[in-house]
Amino acid sequence: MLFNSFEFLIFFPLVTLVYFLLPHRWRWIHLLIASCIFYMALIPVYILILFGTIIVDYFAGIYIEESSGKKRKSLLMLSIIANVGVLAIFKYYNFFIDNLNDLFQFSEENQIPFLHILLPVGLSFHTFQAMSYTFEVYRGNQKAERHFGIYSLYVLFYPQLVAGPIERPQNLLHQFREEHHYDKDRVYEGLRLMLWGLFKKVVIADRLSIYVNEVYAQPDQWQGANIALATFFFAIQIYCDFSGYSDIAIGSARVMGFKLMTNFNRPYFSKNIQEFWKRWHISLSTWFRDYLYISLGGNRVNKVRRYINVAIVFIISGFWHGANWTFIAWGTVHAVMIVLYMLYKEHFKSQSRNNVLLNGASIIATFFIVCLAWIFFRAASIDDAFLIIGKIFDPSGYQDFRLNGPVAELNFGSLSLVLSLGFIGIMLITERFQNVRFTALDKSPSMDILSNAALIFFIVMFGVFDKTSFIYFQF
Amino acid sequence: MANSNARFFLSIVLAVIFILLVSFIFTKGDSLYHIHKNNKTAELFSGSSQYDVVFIGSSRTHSGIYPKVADSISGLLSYNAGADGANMVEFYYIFKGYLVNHPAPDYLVLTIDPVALQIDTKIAYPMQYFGSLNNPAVMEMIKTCSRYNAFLLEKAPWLKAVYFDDYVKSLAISGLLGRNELGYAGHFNDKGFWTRGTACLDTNKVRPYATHKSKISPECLQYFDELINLAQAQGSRVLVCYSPEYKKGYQKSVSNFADFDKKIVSFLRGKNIEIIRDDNLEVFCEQECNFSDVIHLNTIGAINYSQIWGHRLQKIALNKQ
Repeated sequence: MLFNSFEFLIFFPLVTLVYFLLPHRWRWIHLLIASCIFYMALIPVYILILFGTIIVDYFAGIYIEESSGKKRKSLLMLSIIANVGVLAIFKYYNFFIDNLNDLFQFSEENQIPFLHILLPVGLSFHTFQAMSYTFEVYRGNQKAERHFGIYSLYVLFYPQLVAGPIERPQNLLHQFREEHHYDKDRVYEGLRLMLWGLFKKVVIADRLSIYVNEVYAQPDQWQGANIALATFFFAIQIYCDFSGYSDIAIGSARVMGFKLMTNFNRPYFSKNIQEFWKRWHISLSTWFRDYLYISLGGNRVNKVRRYINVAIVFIISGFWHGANWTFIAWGTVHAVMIVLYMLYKEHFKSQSRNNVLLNGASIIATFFIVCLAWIFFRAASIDDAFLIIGKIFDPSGYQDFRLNGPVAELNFGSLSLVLSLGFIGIMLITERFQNVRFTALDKSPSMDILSNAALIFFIVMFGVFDKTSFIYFQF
Repeated sequence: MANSNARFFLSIVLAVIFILLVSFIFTKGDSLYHIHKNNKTAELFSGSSQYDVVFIGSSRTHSGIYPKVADSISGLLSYNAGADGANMVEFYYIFKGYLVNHPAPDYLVLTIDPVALQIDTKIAYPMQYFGSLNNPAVMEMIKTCSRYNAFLLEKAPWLKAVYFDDYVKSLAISGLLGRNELGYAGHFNDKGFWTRGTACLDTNKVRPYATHKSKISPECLQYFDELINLAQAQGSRVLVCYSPEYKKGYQKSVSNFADFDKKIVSFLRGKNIEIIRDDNLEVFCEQECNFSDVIHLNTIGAINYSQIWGHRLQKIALNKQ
């Protein structure tokens, strides 16, 4: 089920209402059933895959806790293999086969066959969440969950099931055992955050996607100016799409009394690429830090090894996003930028940077680098990505600018451009002065009411409601 | 936080006031701009006049058939029901909606091309039909072939501007600023016909269509079949033609046009209908001053082409007598 669908408009209040009406001891069953319905609204049969990994990790957690030494490690490995195996089959098998067929240039009849299966929605998210559970049990930071229903709910909890935040068991599991009472302030706070997320998704991201999709589908047909505009739009689109999802997820959980971890902290106001990764998709970057970077040695190794470890983490993080060389390239670009920044910091770390102009320039430069990297993320192929970069830096592509380029009937005219830029401005200014919980207006009732009304108005009057899926659903 | 319930309630009330106000303004602007399309859909789906001939097709028909010219020759009364971007699904519903109030015409003329049979079952511009939702066929079309929530449209028609996309909103703003769809030099309308002005096709600016294959969608073919059956059941004779285009500029881009044609001819023969090949009007289709672009006629072309239809219908009507 999509957060921006009519079905969710019915589903959410109904589930929340029943949740508060039920006695505490029944609530977990209610949430589990609701989460299954939420997931099965997309592709019903894939719930079986999810339950397969849930069963493996549930028993792995218990056995890991009860065992020690090599057996404990073997059980952890078994759980990792099971989870990564599912990812490998559903997400990466065809990619590897495609590359093997290309590498060995097999004739058509000798080619290794592809699997004709669809990727289960949000597979990478719930797999990583399940893995964080077994890691934490193994490290002794989390007790194994004996209640199968509660453990299932930890993986399936509908607000964050398909696109995160990727939760940690220490933060989420215990919350299912706590009784949450109806608290009007908390409900209000949650709804307000959901509203903000929906605004970012349907008013900004889905409007920009009209232009981005058209330009990136055939970059050879467009001028550099159009491509530069589409790339800027994509940077905003992916932020509004993904952080919008996170806001709705966090807000809807908040309404019921659950606290999910912060996933975005105004990343485009970062002053360097390292800071960007502390603010962007925080639940994934901390996952990689906690379970991969630290396992590779963390900061305890020598400098060169540390740079290599950082590069490995970013390249794998790129590959996590999708089975395509473009995602690996995206991860690699970030790896290079981070390592360069680390080198820079080592040599110039004593210089003060508390200067408004310098800070502004740093924010713009970081955004520019991030935009360049997004080209690899969004382009259909590496060739397309280089074509796009070439066109962006070709001055001749900035003469005789026509917004709609070669597409006469693209539904993105002057009004769309004005609205897009206006809404982007509203979003950036609002986020600059809001906090991540979106509570800055608590003390100003009239402004709060006015901003809520404006958000509802913008969503209803200017939202693009064509059941567009969230970008991160595919990962 | 103080008074969160009151804040919630007041936010909703204020938002509803904003929405109703702006929706009213956009709806007003839309009706001021779309003076041609609104009158056309009102006549098609709410009017009850008797027409002898109804022309149905896409934008090629919309700006290609000038009923007044055809009628002056044929002595019949015709109406141009062409709709921009329409495919066979829309053709079907336009005719079905037309029959709700109008008597069946003697002749139904369908103008087709590969696009009319290859795109999916969605209708191109559903918003132009929002004013005609009291017609059950139009409501059925919106329900089954568009992404719009027909329930809300039906129960809260004053909120229809909520569904306007940016393009329609920009046209509504134009309407509020005093412009309308006929406000361009040389543009006029007549019984569903809408001109594209008198400017000739500039052959230097023609960009060739990318070569592609045409695929007849089974849904479109099924609607084609149902449309012919519906018309024949009402006693209307169905005439089907390929529309003229400049030097077959679009047709040549369809690499399997011969296969497309073969399938259509065979399908129509099964219904005792011979296709009229207006794409083969050699002299007509060679003259750039009949066209505003490769696939659309300008006013001069529409007058010339409507004369051809006038003579053709006159002959058919005489043969019938």
